[in-house]
Amino acid sequence: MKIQIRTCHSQFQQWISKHKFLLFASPWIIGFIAFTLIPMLSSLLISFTEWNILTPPKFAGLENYKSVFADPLFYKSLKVTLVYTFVSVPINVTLAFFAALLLNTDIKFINVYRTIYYLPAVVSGVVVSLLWSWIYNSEFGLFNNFLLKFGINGPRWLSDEHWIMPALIIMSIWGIGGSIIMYLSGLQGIPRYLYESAKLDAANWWTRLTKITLPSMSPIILFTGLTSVIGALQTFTQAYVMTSGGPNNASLFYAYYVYKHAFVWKQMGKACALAWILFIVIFLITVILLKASKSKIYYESKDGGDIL
Amino acid sequence: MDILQKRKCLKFFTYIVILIGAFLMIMPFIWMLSTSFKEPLKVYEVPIKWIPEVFNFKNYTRLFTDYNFSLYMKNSLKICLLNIVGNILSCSLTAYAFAFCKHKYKNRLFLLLLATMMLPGVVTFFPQFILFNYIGWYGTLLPLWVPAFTGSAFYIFLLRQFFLTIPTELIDAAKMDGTSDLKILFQIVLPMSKPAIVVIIIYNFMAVWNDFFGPLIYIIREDQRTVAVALNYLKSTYEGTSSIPIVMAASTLLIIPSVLIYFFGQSYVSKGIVFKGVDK
Repeated sequence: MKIQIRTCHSQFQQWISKHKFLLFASPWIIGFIAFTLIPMLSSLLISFTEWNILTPPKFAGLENYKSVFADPLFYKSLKVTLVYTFVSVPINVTLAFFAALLLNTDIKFINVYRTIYYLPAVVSGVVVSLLWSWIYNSEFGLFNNFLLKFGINGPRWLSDEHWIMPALIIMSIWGIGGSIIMYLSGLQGIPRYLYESAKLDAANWWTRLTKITLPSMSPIILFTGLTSVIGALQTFTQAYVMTSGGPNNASLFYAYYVYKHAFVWKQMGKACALAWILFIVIFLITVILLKASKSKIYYESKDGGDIL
Repeated sequence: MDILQKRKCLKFFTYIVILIGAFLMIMPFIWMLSTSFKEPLKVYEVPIKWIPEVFNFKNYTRLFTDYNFSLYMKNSLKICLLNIVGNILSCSLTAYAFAFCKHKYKNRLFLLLLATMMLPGVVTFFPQFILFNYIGWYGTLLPLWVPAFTGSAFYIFLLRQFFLTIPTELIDAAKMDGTSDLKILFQIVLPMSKPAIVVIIIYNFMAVWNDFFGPLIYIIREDQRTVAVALNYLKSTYEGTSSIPIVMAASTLLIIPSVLIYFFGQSYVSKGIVFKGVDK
């Protein structure tokens, strides 16, 4: 009897040590199944139904998708979101990169300047939106008063459908601090000897930038670029807090449009269909960006898990 | 112009550009602060007065006397703490598995983990809402912190990268002595990973404290509101521009904790983020 218990016990221990990985990783595995996999699959099912949350869903076949593709506002919101993303992200990535280059020098109080550049990135989207609504106030706002100093009569930023997009893009530049921090940590990881040997070869500033800095930084640039694109495609708070999608739907961001379907108009089926379409769009863009950048990304070593 | 002079010139130019950039970056903050001390009607003064004639703390005190902001701050803080505890527990366990345990499908699962990092939140958010609604969590704070106890891909990734910098000899030696894996994790690995833990605390605090969409969807009762949501309600209780000073005061209040936690944790950030692959 005793022997049996002992073998049982050791069997249990053996089982534990054999499945140690699964046991330790179980929080994430359970979370992945419960909060990602099941909801995603069920939303795919829901996208084929008509459902207002209160009464049971009714099977509707492809009705939701048909109504999405017949909806002019769907195309409008997709266009708004894509324009915002592919104008603001390249601008922000470039500016953040050059800002990081500048901030990677050893001048006095450099840490104070780095903190100032980063500060806007710690601010909640709600605060950013409320603050900038006030900054863009056409008569009493900071921006137009600033422009007036140069003799420019600023537009009505938030209530003019031609100026709302530039306004939101300028506002997004304020938040480049997050990317700057990433680039700074990347710049500090470039071995010094590379620059020193380049200097011996009398390579000028431009050559050093394109032959050393950019290749070494390319994985980080790709990572921040990609996460910025994914983030920008899901812009919500600005539309909700600042503009309610207006004027004339000029800032009808996709995520805001999905939100309206789900929580204002209670059309869960169509909301899920819209969310899945966005998922496919984001997936395609990610794959295209990764493919297109493949030959331009330089990896020092793949071992141990670089990010991408 | 000789090289030395050229270099000096360049440095001066860099300095000027940095200074202009910093000025533009900090301007909105100064304006926010200055507006938060103004009387409602003083915001219409042109040209702009940067320093108000009288510093009016009424906007700040009213947030607590008229608008319950102390409760909202407590709610936000509670959710933040639960998230941080949950994430550190679950992420360190999972990161330990990915860093030190062996499994046939480990690499594939790790790729899956990285893929979920890229998964757009919008896509999972609505289905998650349906799930939480189904199990009766809508209108409670549970959806805002329970998922943290199953970890978050980005934090797991950060911790795993950091764990890999710890010398394996240390862990092997402990294993030889018969120390259990849990003890190795909590007594050896975690104490050595302080920078990564601090980074997670900073990032998680800011993400949760600043979160708007989650509380907007899940909270229905006034006394459960977080500061970020309460701020937006504050704006919409007034119409027009008379609300600006008090909204700016609440905004200032909202960003102070984030700024403080970043300020004190700043020195860890560069140490805690390990991007490069680790030589093994």
